Amino acid sequence: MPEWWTYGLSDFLMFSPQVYWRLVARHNAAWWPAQMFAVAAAMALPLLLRAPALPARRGALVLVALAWAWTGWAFHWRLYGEIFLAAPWLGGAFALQALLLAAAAAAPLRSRALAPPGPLCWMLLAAAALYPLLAPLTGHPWSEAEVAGFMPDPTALATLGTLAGLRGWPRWSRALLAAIPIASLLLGAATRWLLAQ
Amino acid sequence: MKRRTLLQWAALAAAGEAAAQPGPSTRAIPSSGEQVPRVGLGTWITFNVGNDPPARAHCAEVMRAFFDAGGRLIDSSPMYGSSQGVVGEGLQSLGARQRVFSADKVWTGSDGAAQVEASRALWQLPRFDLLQVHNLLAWEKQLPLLHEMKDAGRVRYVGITTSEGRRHREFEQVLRTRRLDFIQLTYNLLDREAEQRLLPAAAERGVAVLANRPFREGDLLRRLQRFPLPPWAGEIGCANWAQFALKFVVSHPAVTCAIPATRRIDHVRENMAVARGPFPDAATRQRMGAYVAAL
Repeated sequence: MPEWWTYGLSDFLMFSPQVYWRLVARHNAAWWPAQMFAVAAAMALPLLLRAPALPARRGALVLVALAWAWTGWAFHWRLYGEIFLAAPWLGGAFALQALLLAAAAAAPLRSRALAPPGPLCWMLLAAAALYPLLAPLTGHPWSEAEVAGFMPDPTALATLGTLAGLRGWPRWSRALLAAIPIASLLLGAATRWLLAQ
Repeated sequence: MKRRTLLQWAALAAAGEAAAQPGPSTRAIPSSGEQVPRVGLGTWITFNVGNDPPARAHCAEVMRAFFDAGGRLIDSSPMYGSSQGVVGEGLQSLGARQRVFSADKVWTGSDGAAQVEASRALWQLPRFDLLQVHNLLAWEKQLPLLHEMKDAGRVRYVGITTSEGRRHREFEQVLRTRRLDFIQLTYNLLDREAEQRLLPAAAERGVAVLANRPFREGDLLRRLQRFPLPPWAGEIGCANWAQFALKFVVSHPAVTCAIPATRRIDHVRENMAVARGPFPDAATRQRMGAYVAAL
């Protein structure tokens, strides 16, 4: 892009807040009540991460991999692309994250007793679980609530929580797996901030 | 400003304005003499509503109000998300394809012809009236393409665009050295850099001017609404700050048409009322600018 430094963050917001939140409501309405399955899966994450055995943790990674694949396709690719030109690229990044998480779930690791997750894991998982409450707390109807496994921000929070509690995997691999979720969260925060202006 | 320049602009404005009539006041496109209403309709953000049927239907109603008030020129771009398709659907449902003056853009470094064709299909029109190189992106490649299309009768007018004061030096160079029917730039009560060189150059070269961001995407009005309108605003037909700001833009002698974007029907009517005059003369325009600068 020529003279990219002359562009502000707001120049990249190409839709109005009303249209964005209407999109979230349409997304929720299109799949309701499937969000209940996503909530159940999110509730299962702490149980899987608390179990001392490796297969349970692999199960947690599979769940978040599915969440990334689904959010990337159903939200970014299928819906957000209607109003945001970069959304298909975001869908691609979400697909890549899903593959990375699936690969990590299948990684050959030595089976051993694993320590329980620390407080950072529980805090991030709690933030993901409580994320839908942001809707009523910020004056939006429940139909515009964002649920982990359906919307990017709570999905990224749940993933970071899972990675924080993922004992048994090398630190470097967990750092690699955290890169896209952190970038997604930053993008989500910027979008929310611009929408609130 | 030199008196001679003022007189040149006054003469240009007088030549371009159509006689008073019930419809909106018009200005001539210098390269053809064709008249277009002085207020058009932009679609950045406001018409990017996705595939949401109620929102698309609402946009069609905005277009209906625009056409009912005598509007013609609608401007869009491939970088405006779903806006092109929303405009096309609106034109189809309103039966307004004959009436619209369609202005779109090419915004790519690669296959401009394919992009134009995709845009045309979204607008559901046989051809565009005006095609512009968006923000000068790959203009060396795309401008010859647009001229080829014009020569082949596949578009009627060719232009270039910039916004928010970007690349004005290069913009002026293209304006002064290439054959253009239109330029599009940002011009409003606060962003007046174009007055220095670009608007005089357009007048001198006989190029029509579309003014984008007349309200700075609403930011200008949010600032102004904290202050009272000047008591003399009624003398130039302004009932609110939006009309005051738009009147300032469209009354510049070199400006052919301003393209405010809105998703509100009452705002469309308000904007189109600006095109019915009266219009401020040079002294009043100076007074308008000074009043806002002093706030």
